[in-house]
Order: sequence, then C-alpha cells, then structure tokens
Amino acid sequence: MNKKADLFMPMFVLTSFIVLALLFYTISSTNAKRNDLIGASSIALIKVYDEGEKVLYYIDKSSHMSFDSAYNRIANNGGYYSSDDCDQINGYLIINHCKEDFNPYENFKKLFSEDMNSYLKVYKSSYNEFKPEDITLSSTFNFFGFIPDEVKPDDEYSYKSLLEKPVNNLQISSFDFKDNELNVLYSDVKFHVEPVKSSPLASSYYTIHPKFSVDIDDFEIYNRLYASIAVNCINKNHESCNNILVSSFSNIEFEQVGNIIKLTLPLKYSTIRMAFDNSKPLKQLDLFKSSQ
Amino acid sequence: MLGKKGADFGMGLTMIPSIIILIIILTFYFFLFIILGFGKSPDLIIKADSYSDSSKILVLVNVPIGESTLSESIINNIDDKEQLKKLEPEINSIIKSLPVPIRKNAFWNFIVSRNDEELFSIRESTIASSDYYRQSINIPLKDKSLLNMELYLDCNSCTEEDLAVI
Repeated sequence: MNKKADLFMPMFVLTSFIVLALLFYTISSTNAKRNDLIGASSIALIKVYDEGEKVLYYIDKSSHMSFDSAYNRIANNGGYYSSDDCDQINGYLIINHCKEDFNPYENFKKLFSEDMNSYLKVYKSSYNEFKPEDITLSSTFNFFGFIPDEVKPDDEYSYKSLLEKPVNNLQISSFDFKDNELNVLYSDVKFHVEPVKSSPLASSYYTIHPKFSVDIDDFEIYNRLYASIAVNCINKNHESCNNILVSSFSNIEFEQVGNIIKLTLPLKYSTIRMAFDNSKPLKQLDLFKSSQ
Repeated sequence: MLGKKGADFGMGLTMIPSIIILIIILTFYFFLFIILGFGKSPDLIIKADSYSDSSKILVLVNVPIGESTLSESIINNIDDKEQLKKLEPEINSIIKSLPVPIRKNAFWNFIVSRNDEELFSIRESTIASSDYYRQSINIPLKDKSLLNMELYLDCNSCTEEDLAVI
C-alpha cells in the first residue's frame, strides 16, 4: 500500500471533525445572537398593559383610603388641618383658639396629598420579568466562551425598579371640585416596555393617566357655618344663635358647656364636629368666601 | 497485524483507529445535534408557560363577594382570622371556577400575604407538579403596608398544548 492511501482515512477523519466543529461553532454563535423570539414583543406589551392596570388599581385604592382619612379628619377637626394648634373639649376643636388659618378645602388638599404620597412611596411592582429558557447546554458553551456572559443590572437599575420609580414619584396635577364631585388628576405615568429582544429600553412605552373621582359634600358649608357662628353667635344670645343655626343647617346639634358650644352637623358623606367659645372673637372674619 | 490481504483492501495501519475516531466524532455530534436538539433552537417561539401576564389576578381582585369585591372582603377582615376563614368557601368556589387543562391534575393556588407573612391561602398540588402562569398584585393597606395576592397554576405533566387552551 502506498503512503497516499495510508493518509486518506486520517485526513478524512480530521476534515470531518473540522467541518462539524465549524458547524457547531456557527450554530452556537448564531443562537447566542438570536433576537427573533416570536411572540415576545406581544407578551411584553400585554404585560406592561397589565402593570398599568395594577398601578391604576393601586392608585385608586390609595386615593380612596387617603380621601377617607383626610375628609373625616377635616370634618372631625371642624375644617382645620391639625388639632395640635387648637384647644379641645371632649375631642371637639375650639375654633376660636386655633392658631392656623381656617381654610378647609386647602387643608383637605394638604392632608390628602400627604397621605397619598405615603402610599405611593411604598409601592412595589409585582411584575414578572421575562426569563427566556436557556439554550441547550448554554452554561457549558458559556463556560468555554462560545456564548458571552449575561450582564444583569443592579436592583436599583433593574426593569422592575424602572416600573416602580414613576409611581413612587407620582404627583397630583390638580384638584377639581364641581357639582359635589371631587376629581383628582395625577401626572401621567410612563412605563417602558420590557426589552425582551435586543431592542433598546426606550424604544416603546405605555402611558397611563390616573384619575380619582368621588362624591363629597360641598366645602362651602364649612365657610357658611364659620361665618354664621361669627355673625350670629359670638357675643350674642345663645338662644338666637341656636335658632339661626338650626334654621340654616338641618340636623345640627348643640351641646353647651359654660361658654363653649359644641356643634355636630351631619352631612351626606361626613359629620362636621367643632366647638366655639361665644365670648371670644373668631379669627379671620373676612374669610367668608369659598376657597375653591 | 495487517498482511498483504489487508493492504490490498486499502486497510493501512491507520485505518482501524481512524474509523474508531470517526465513529466517536459522529456519535458525539449525533448526540449533540439530534438527541439534545442543539441546532433546533426551540425557544424561537415563545412558550405558553412563559406567558406570565396578570389578567386572571386582575379579574379576581374585582370579583364581587356580597356587596364588596374579593380584595375588599379580604382587606376588611385582614386582622380577623375567623372572618377570613369564613370567606374561604366562597373564595374557593371562585378559584375553582377558573379554567384548568382538561384531563390533567391541575389546580389554581391562591395565596394572600402581608410583609411575607401568609394570611390566607387556597392550595392544592400533586407530586412532581410544576407551577405555571404565576401572577401577583400588591394592594395598599391603611397602615401603609402591602398586601400581596398571588395566583398560580399547579399542574402535573402539563404539556404546551394543555396550557395553551387556558
């Protein structure tokens, strides 16, 4: 047998090995660069839409609780922001002794905003980030350097964190009170769609416009009550004061303790509680106008 | 040792080792490409079980129970374990009404927790089962903590086709 024939088989084996190794390398590197995951973009859109729905639900629930808390607190404080700066009698604020301004609508807005912000600050997203299944033997290929290492961002810069930040920093754009309905408009929340392929993060986004509406009693009633007390009750006969208040405000109740008169005025959605000293003047008598 | 006859058939000294090495190489690549399906890239089309949207939990929280919704019923009784227990049959019937793969051991599981402390759960699972369609929602509570409601499907030997019909 000649030498050429002797070399044929080993050369054939070597060539086969090289060809198959090249094929193997080409497929592994192509798989690593693959960016055509069919259906992933649609799912990313559906998921970001779901996230929007969850955020709207969260904002709605938070708004309801903030509203209940602020509205009842204002009613229990007789229109004042806090009971700290006022003297009290059996839990009723004596409005003559309050240091802060009488401005129920502004005080309500301040209380609502503060409470709402505390809910928004603790918002955590429950978004499930996209996890593609590993390519077969990917960890082995990764070990030998066929597939590059996946670089994951810190938690602070993760996609989930990007969804939380706009909610944590959400602002109230406006309060609008009309026909016994309060509408609270929030700033827009912009969510980036999860980049499941090689597309950059800011390539598409989804925006929601949160809004909260609720029926409430007219804040003007606080001003009318305050004005009526100032004009008809301070340094006036107790009986005439009672008669005027009863004729002006249905279901109003009185309780007198010395010079202090405790008032309870049930409304449709709340009950105003306040007290006043009929021997002392009220602050800011010029504030008998609606602050809306 | 090869004699004249072997040399006549072209079987040199390197022939048999070469064939053995070739068989090893072909077996290795056969295993890699055919058995492991390395070249197929099955993840090109997203699988049904990767479809982790939250549509069911979003509907579930708003399902009416009496005069309130499921989430409100739980929130209103969050600190009353007795009351929460009373809600269990009703919530269980709602969870049972969710669609599951046909002719499979599949159950929807529902877990309510606050600060990682489980408050309420409806669980059912089988041995060697897997979780699918895991979805959850965070709901604010008055004390500024978060209530987490989680829903997932526990299924034994569910295939892509079984899951796709849900």
